[in-house]
Amino acid sequence: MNLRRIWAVASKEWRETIRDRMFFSLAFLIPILWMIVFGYGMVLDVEHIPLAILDYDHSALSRDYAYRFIGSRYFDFKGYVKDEEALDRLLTDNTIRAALIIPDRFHERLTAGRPANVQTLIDGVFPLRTQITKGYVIAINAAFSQELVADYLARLRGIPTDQARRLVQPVKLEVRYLYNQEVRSVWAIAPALVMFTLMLSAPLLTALQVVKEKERGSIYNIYSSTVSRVEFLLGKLLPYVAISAVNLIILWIIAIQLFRAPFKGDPLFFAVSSLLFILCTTGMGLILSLLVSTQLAALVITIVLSIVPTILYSGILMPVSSLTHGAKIVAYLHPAMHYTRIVQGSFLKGVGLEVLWEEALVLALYASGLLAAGYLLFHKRTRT
Amino acid sequence: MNGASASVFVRTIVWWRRLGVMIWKELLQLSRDPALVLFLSYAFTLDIYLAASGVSLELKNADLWVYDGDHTFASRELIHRFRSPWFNFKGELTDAGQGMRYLDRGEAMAVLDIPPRFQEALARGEQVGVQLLIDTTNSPQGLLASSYAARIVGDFALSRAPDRLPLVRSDHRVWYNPNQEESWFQAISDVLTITTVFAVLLPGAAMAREKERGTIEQLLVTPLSPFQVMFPKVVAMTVVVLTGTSISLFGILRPIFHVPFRGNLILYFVLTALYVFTIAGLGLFAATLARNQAQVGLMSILLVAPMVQLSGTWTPLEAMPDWLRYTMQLSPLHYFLNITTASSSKESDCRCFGIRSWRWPFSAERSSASACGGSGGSSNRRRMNRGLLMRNSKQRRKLQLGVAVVALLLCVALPAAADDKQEKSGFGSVASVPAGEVINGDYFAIGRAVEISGTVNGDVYAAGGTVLVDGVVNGDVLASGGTVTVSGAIAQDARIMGGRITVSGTIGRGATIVGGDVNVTPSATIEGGMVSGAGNLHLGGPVGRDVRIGAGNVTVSNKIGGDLAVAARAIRLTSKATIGGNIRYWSDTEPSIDERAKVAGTIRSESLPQTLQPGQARRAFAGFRVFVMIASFISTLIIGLLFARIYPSFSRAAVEALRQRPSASLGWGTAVFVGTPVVAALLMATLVGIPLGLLLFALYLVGVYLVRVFVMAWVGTLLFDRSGRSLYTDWSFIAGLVLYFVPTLIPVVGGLLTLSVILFGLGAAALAKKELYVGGQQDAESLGRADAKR
Repeated sequence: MNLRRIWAVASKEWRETIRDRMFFSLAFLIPILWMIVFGYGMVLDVEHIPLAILDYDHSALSRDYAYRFIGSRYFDFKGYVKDEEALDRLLTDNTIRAALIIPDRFHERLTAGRPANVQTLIDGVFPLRTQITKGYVIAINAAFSQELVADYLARLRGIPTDQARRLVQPVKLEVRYLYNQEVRSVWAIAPALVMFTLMLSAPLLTALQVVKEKERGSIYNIYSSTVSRVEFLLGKLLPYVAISAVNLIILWIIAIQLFRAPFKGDPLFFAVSSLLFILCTTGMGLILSLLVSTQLAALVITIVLSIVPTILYSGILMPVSSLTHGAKIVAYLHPAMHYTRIVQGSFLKGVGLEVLWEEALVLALYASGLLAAGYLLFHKRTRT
Repeated sequence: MNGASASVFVRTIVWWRRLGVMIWKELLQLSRDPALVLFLSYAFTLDIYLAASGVSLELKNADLWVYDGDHTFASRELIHRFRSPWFNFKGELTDAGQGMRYLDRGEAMAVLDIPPRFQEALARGEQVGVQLLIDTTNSPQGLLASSYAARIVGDFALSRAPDRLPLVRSDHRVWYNPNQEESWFQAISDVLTITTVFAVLLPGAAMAREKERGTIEQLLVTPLSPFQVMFPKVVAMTVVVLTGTSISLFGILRPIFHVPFRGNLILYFVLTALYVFTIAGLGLFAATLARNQAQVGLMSILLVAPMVQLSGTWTPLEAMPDWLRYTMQLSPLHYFLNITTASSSKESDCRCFGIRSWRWPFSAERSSASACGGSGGSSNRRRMNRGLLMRNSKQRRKLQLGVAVVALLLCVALPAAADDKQEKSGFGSVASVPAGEVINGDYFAIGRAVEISGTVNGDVYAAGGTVLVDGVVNGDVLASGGTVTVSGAIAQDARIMGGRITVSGTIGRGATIVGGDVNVTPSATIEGGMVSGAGNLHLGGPVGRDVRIGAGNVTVSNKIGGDLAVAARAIRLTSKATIGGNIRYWSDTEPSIDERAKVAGTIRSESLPQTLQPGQARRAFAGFRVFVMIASFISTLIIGLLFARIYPSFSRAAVEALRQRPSASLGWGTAVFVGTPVVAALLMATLVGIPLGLLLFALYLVGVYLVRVFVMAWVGTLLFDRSGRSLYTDWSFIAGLVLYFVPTLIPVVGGLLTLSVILFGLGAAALAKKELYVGGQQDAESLGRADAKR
């Protein structure tokens, strides 16, 4: 290995890159734009769910019950309707995402100490939101029921309401939300987006760099030069690692300044592991570039391979624990999931090497594995 | 068959054969790239399979550790309830601090802490708290975990309570995806993602490849028309993507995951083809901008990633900030997603597929969708001209035509599909809310006739030839129309403007009514105050509070709760009139007040304020107009004189262009006049281009005002200096200015005149710009000669 030759390849690559002004500016622009657009766009807080209520009972109790929903900040009350057909229509044209049908004799049944069934209709098009909406409905129902039962027991047995309430709710669940006490999705999303944007943009930078030379034939200059395989690969990688590293810093600043995500972890550890991740992503692009023979193929494969697994298997939206075995294997094989843990750990949990060493190790192995694979895949002697 | 038609026939055959050959060429080229073919087949099969089978947004098997401080029957029973599929019980902790470490390491999603003497406390009937620590680095999942836990603990508590309690139980019915089988959802959005990526990239990169390698030059010297060069790329890639989609639909989704397709499959495929077409336009657009495939790659992913993620796949648009919501409505995927989910899960009726739509008025959606298709097209055309550096103008025109046709096809693509029964806002000829229908939220309606007979739980905004409100409106009504009739009940304020207005219903609060003939019938009730301006006003219904009227003729024949202030030529209070407060009137004539009319307060005549005199008002208005005219005249004069000094060659070139090619100027002017706002809007739609779009729009506004000076100078030249030697002199300009300003004072003709002047001027400016660009620093004189030769 000769540092000067690496430097020579890198500076040739760098010059080529900055002379392609559109490519160069897009390389910086894309991550920033994405960070902003996704940061504002991927709203995972489920609030203000548009709701309509159909009240067949028209009693004081049913109104009281409905008011629990109307007053809640999770629901955005759109109005009462007269019949179920209207609910159908409102759900179909997406005016509402949830509806509540209070049956007749609601008041009568409950005051008589019998249960009443309330029907909720929930739009199932966004499964995660459906789940959370369901959770809200159940929670409101439970709180309402508990009060009713407590009152009922107090009347029935002639005991004070306090005691009845304790009787009704013997176990009280105290939930503590850790790391993100206000459960704000932007705190969760902003760090994950650092991973997301790096994962999508970095491989694209390198994906065409070798195959381009192959297509144009300029690779023969390399074949016949004194530059060794490792030197060539490292030199190719260097400028794009540098660009991605600058992007990383910009993204980090956006996450902290614009989206106000907290950064509690060790900056040094974060920087080092991020660098490893950048090596992995740019390395992925480079490997693909070595494998295929046309730029078109390199582009398509890189984009699909970076978008799909990053969305599905990295754990930013779907929890890794919910994956089935096959999918879990893909998730573990992809560097995105490991780096997601590092990012979330560094930003929200405030943990460093002592906890995340496994992930960092995986990334390091991944990066060196990719480089080794590149070394093995790249031949200076043409086959046949 | 004569020779001419035979040759047309032969030419048609040849044309189609060339197209076919080109499509075949693209397919062959693709199939000879084994890595790509292999990957395509992977993406449409295995990748979809994995996504559909393995991925779930729902929280399942959340890792749970328990610190059990009690170790009794009760505590174990509670722990036992935290089980699969929600939680995955990993084991017990020996001390409380260990839980925190597991959470830090990500080995636990939640830690349950049961205090000592849990059972004892329960037995005594005391309330015990159990603590649950939840990792919320992924906030929605954290919320889900806590809602699961709350449910579990609630059930645990109830299982210990007596039966038959007054409980509210909820039956959940989840629509459109009853079992919440997420495999559908994942599978569908994954198919869409892959379709989108391929549809953008394949044609775009294929085009850029030809440019990069220089083979495009070869194609351009063949007899192929540019249309025949570009179109086959789109067709070939559409074929590939459609094949892939059908493989994943019929090979994977249907047999393995039983994704139901309720819609019409043929229709769905046609729409998919249209979608791929539109998206391919974006790819081609990127290709015309780019010099090499790397740039195409970056540009496509810049567009594709936000499109794929934010078009309503994860987050409904209503949850996004406004600016983003409107931007994402420009995304073609947003519409295609609606089409897909509609045909797979939501009940679709065959007329319109029951397309999901957000509350943005649909006419706007339609135009934005077509604009999106158009963006690829129209800008392609411009770029192609320059990018390919073609000097042969005939060839160039053909190319323009070719691209225009492709663009047109792309434009037609989505809006055609986006026909929806949008009931929230009525647009079109008759907008109506029939009786019995309930609308929650505001209702907007524009149409020849607007009828609101149902119930609207919100405000109504209606404009139309005839507006009829005879239903119930639990909000405000804002109506304007030729004839406006309100016979229903309006819970809050009514603001009505129209030629003939009849109010016979109840208005819960105040009414503001402005119209030619206003009739408030005896059956009407206005609870609040009333402000009205009218030619003839008959106030027959009771009004709760104060009434203020400015009108020609006023008749009051019912009860008014508060004061009456009226300014009118003729005022009449009939015998039925009862005024709760004072009357103040401004009038030249004495009001005729029936002696049986009751007035609780005083009646006072106010002196007519000067400004209210009709003649004077008219004069004032005319004066204002004259002032505006003069200001405009002077500013135009200054602009024109300055322009000739600052940009002499440009001004001369513009006037020359008008002289030599008036019809071309008009054509170009119309194109620029109509096109620039569209381009500006499109630029803003790309997010990147927002500042550029705003700048363009500002320039456009300034330009529209400025360019008139060229036309004035031209008109002046026509009159005074027919030799054409001095093209832009101050005097010819001033003459033109005067000539222009006088007729603009005429109402309709003036408007048309101004418009045509703007069109001519814009065209001239565009042509001048172009010619200066081409001809370098040549002066206008030689340009003129060159034009004359041509």
